[in-house]
Amino acid sequence: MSDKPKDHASKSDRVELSDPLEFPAGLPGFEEHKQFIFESRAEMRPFLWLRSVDDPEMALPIISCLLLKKQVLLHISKEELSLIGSPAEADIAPYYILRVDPKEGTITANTKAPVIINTKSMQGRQVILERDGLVVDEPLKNLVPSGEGA
Amino acid sequence: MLVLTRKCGESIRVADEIVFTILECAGSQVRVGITAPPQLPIHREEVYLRIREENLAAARGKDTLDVLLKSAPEELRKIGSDSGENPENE
Repeated sequence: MSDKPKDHASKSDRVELSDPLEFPAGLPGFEEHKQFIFESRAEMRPFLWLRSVDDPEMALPIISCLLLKKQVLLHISKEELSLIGSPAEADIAPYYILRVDPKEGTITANTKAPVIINTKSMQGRQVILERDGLVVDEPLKNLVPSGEGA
Repeated sequence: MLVLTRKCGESIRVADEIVFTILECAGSQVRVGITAPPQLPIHREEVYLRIREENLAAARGKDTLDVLLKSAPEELRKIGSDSGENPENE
């Protein structure tokens, strides 16, 4: 299996690691995890790992919302943005956390609670959006830019 | 748990900056207004617990990478192969 954390320090298998991201509130379910990194591998693009620095065994698969349908782009309040340093729009990187079901072979995206990053200050948090139509388990195929789905 | 009885229009204050106000009571439903500092996100309990559950499940997948690569919509796999850089590095 190729998703073992032991690989993440290796350069030989083309793993790219970001600078540490500060998550002052952690994530729901992982409140004690305050620092994460993006981990990228050439063979898994456009997916990334959001890996805990505090516990490298813990990682969440994510995808940039900017690669997906425009209509699911985020509606995040100024108050929420103020918690990661009130970034300008160009400095906000939004991601969906993905959940995979190995038995069914399905991938769903949590559009209800995206992760947002201030790329200038490298602060992040998971926001919970109250807007209608957002769910925790949107099939990823419904979000692909072509609109037809898979 | 502290239990307080309030009428419509009455409030409960928590510390200096948090106020719960009973706005409306109708049948089994109560509308509550909450004033709190922005650094204290407020959510319905069941919504927060669902997000928590999803995060735990997302992190638990043992074959996550294999399923991602096999089951990802073709359009996304094309995006992945076309983009040489990571989105966060742009």
